[in-house]
Amino acid sequence: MKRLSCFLVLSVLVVAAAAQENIYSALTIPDSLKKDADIVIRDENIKLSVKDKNTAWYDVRRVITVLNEQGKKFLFFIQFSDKFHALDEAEIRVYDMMGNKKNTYSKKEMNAQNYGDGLVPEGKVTYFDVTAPSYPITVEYTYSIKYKGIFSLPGYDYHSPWQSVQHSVFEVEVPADLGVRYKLLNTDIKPGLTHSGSKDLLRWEVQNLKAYKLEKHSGSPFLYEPAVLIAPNKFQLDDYEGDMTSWKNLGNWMNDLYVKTTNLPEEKKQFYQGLVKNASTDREKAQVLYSYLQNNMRYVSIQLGIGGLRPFPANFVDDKKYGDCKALSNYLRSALDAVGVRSNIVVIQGDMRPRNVLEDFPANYFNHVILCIPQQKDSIWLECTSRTLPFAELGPWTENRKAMMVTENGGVLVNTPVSTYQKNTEAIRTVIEVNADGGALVNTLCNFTGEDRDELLMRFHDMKEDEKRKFFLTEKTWKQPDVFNLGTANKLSNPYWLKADMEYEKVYSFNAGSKLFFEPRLYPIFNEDIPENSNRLRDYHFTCPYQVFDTTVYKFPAGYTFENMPKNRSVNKPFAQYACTYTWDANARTLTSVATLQMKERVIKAADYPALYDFSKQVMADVNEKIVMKKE
Amino acid sequence: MKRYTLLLALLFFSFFLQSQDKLPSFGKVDKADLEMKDCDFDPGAAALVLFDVGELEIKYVGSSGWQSEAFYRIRIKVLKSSGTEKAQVKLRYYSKERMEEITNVKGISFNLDENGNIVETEMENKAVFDKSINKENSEISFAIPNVKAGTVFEYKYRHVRKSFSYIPSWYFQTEIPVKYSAYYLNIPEFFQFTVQSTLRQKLEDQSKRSGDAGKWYIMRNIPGLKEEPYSSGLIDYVQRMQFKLSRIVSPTYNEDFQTTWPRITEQLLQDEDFGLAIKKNLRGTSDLDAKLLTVTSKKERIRIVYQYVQANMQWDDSYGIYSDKGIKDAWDKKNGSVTDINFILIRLLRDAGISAKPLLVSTKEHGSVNTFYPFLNQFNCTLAYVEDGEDTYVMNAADKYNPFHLVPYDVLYTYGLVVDKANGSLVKLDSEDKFENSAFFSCGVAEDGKLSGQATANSSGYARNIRLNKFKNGKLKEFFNENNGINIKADSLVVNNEKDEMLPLEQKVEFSGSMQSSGDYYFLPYNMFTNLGKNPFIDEKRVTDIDFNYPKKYMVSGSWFLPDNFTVSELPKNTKMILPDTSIVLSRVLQLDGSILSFRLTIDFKVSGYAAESYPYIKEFFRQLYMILDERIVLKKK
Repeated sequence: MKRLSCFLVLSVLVVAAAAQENIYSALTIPDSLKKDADIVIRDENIKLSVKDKNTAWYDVRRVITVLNEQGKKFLFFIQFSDKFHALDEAEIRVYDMMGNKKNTYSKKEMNAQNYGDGLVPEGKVTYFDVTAPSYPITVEYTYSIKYKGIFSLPGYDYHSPWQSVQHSVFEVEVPADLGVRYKLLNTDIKPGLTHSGSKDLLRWEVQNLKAYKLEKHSGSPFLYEPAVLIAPNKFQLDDYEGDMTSWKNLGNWMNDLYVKTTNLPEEKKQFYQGLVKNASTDREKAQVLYSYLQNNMRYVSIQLGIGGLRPFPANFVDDKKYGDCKALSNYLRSALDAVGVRSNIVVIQGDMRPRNVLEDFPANYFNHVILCIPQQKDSIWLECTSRTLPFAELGPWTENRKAMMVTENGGVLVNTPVSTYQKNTEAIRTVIEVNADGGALVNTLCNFTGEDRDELLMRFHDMKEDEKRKFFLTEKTWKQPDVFNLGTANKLSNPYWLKADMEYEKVYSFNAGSKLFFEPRLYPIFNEDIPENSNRLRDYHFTCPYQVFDTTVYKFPAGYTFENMPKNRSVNKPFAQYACTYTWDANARTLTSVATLQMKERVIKAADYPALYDFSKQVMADVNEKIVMKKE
Repeated sequence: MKRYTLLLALLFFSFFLQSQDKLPSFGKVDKADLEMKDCDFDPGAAALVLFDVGELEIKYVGSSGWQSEAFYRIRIKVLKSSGTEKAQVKLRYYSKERMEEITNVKGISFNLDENGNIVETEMENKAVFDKSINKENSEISFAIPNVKAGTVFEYKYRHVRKSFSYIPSWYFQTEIPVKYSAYYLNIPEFFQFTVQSTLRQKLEDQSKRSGDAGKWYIMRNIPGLKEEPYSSGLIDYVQRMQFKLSRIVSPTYNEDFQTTWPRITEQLLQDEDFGLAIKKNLRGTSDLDAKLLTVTSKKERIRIVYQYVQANMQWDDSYGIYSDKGIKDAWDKKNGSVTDINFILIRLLRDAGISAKPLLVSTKEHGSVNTFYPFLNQFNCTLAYVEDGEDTYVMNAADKYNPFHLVPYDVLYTYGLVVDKANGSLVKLDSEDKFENSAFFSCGVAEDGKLSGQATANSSGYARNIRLNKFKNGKLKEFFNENNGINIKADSLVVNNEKDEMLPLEQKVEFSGSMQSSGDYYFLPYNMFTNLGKNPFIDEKRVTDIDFNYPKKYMVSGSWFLPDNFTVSELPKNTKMILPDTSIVLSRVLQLDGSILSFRLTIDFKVSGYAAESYPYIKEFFRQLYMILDERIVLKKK
């Protein structure tokens, strides 16, 4: 409490300086800061005070004006506390449009409860929802967080999309002999540097930053949001002291957490040696053990031990047949060890939109653990929490990024495999036997590899038969048939396949008199959200690159005359390719279309966006084409 | 002697389970269960509950008085690997003042090894976690070891509740199928409970089994239940039994809890967290007084007070029919439960001279109210009720969008209890209001197939809020882009009547884009701006009734202005599609007048829902309806 009041005095001084204009009144916001903004950060003072390797304080005073309902989420105050950082004091003040104070809420009045999906609570969450009778409304948040252990330090991300910033200050105070490192991301704001006694003080200040828009599919915020990252040199968590100034040292510290967690009893070792007795290479042995893991172990979230960083011993997983990502990876590492295959723990960010790990700025970027078996060429990467991924494949949740491999000699930055469109392939072959009434018997065989396969195994494979048929129509968006049988591959098959036999009473889409209009395919081959935008600012991110091969054959009985079919089409861009040919065989009375869609790149440069839009437009034009037949 | 009978009872007890229901004991497993591949009465299920047994006894314990002690055993067969999720177990209990506790948790799994031998793995005690969730509740959580597809596992525990008046409900049905579900109640005869059941399958009510002091309720082969689209919620379908203390008849003490709606009303009015809670005064409402100063119309006064509470209060997402933190505290925090917010509304309405009454309701998600059972637990929140001559108002100020004159959709056509001494009664919350969207547009077609036009859409009744919500969240403009069979984009959007909820929400859009085409053929849709999306009824079977919440009406009237270089091939025929009972009517009229192609599409869903039995007809009707909506007007380029 004492700390907070002292801090309040300081911030009052700062406010006094800017007191000419009332920062609590929405009327004093310059128009330039309202454009494209849902909220305006009126005045912000953040101070990070590192006391020693064990303790830091993070004090925030933030005045924001929420301009409209889309900024409503900023009226929701929420802070998570756990073993290593705890919300100490908090207060919320609410002001009306004129800047009159309407309410004050203390931490006591806020809601608190434990959180965590896993078996054990991860911490406590404190929250309060401020009511806005109307907009604009201004709130002032004042709070302090105490850090016990400075493994992860909060940085300064001061300018998110749809917000403008009137004035904001970030200060870091640290004992000179301890020091911290900082790194600028998407910005070049230079800190002021002062020394007082035994302390260093870094200070950043920004003002009058206009709001900017966020375009959909822009990828991780770390690619475009300006930020200052802060990381310690030396740190301590529980009794484990560490050094973060190099990847090597950070890895050494991690390595210590895994000490004494890998021992398996001798009879267990023999069991694993028995399992691999027919395997000759490291790769084959690893494949056997990975398959054993997938068939016998399951993922259960239990975040225990040194901030959720230290794994359960391998023996625990071996007995219980469950564990979290660390425990499962560490278990497989031990089992591999027992059969003479060396592998390494890799700490990584599991995220569809990861932040960039900056090589020159070692810090804790990570939330997940996988395993790597280093090889001369094509190292083997294993996601130990998945029961569906094929051996040595990762998915878009961990591919294409830097991660830290933990070795006996410390940490080493490594790159996980790059996703390729060849790995994510969908191949479809459909035969449509049209009858005299415009109905049809249809059979199709769809093969999937990579991300689609994994998705189907996780979400679809275990469904009941009727749910599977529904999934095929709603998620794979096939035209709804009247009668329907669906067969599926078994779990291990790669590619994974679906086979559908369907009957349609009416297979064409619509008619104009005697002319019937048929779709080139009974599902849309291309379905991406690529709106027109002639001056896109950010790169466009797909989940993963992929390719689709489609062959669709229409067989028409006598009584139909060929009227028109789409023109052959070929669209080529450096990052994507589409080709479709249509052939009418008058003798066989068949119309065959063969289409190939290749989205080769995961990330399309902003400068190429017009080309991507043009690509999408041309492919959509083909998707919307019709085959025209005349019925006699 | 006493000991002897107890022993006899125990013997009989185990005899019955052995001979009739053949439940294997905790460490034993039937090999057939391990070899089982599918559930015979619910094929394809991810897991099957082999048995779910609860045995509850209310008894007097010297040190802590009356309490209920229950033993639960649940055994599950994992059929597919996704079924292993069931082996992560969380048991919630009310831990405040140690009112409840869960102990004796045991878990075990059974597997077959490659040689067909049974492998048992028992859960260690230290792998069971007990964590507090908030001030009132705690949770026991554990993961059963060694569980994969094929496994049979079981867990059991003891749950003690320091109360004689509460018997937990028994749910026979869950999201996965249950082969055998049994609830045993052993209640001293001086506590009498009323039972309310929701059952569709046969219940073996084995009250007269010799040897048992209590009563068994048993059901077999209960299929799993899952969410369905346009359903008012599963709760009305889950087969279950609920219990309520109705009477205490003992030699020394008698009390009749059996009650009637008028008695419930009377008690509620005297309750500190209900009738008396509303009597508390609120401070800091002078801005409301100022707004009301010159307003004399009763309707207008109701509206002003409602909007004032609606704007000033934030709902914390919690339910419950009683005041949660009290209206003073809720008002100070501007935050509260649905009932706190509506108590504030009632308080302020009364201050404004309007006779407002609390109205107990059950939202559709909470299940329908059976008016024959005077059970308070049938309700889950309190709304405000005002009668004004012909008009009645059912108001929930916790809903940020619903206007004061519409019955909140989630209680529409349900029963509510007006809590009032003189005029308290059960009322049906009916309404004539519906969901209505209309759109008028005209669009020019250029020689190259490019389009530009204007549309005016009107949303009224229940449709109004939905559009207004989209508008306020910045999503309305792109909503107008979502039309099948045409590529158009809203270039501008103007919304009128935002503040006057009695008028339709008017949305004026200017749009541009292009037709879809194939060769010389060009296509125009007429299903424009309805946002009917995709056919929701593609499930093959259905258990729950269909609930559209309210009747719905869509109307689109448009004109395409065609250039000389396009001719209309042949217009789709004028069509009327009517469900045999005339409750759904679609009509499509098209007309070509020179170069102006006009049409009118109306779809009228006249009733708010259908019984599950009529699903096959509804499904077929919707299939054809969507086929018609997907048809196009075909143009040919000269």
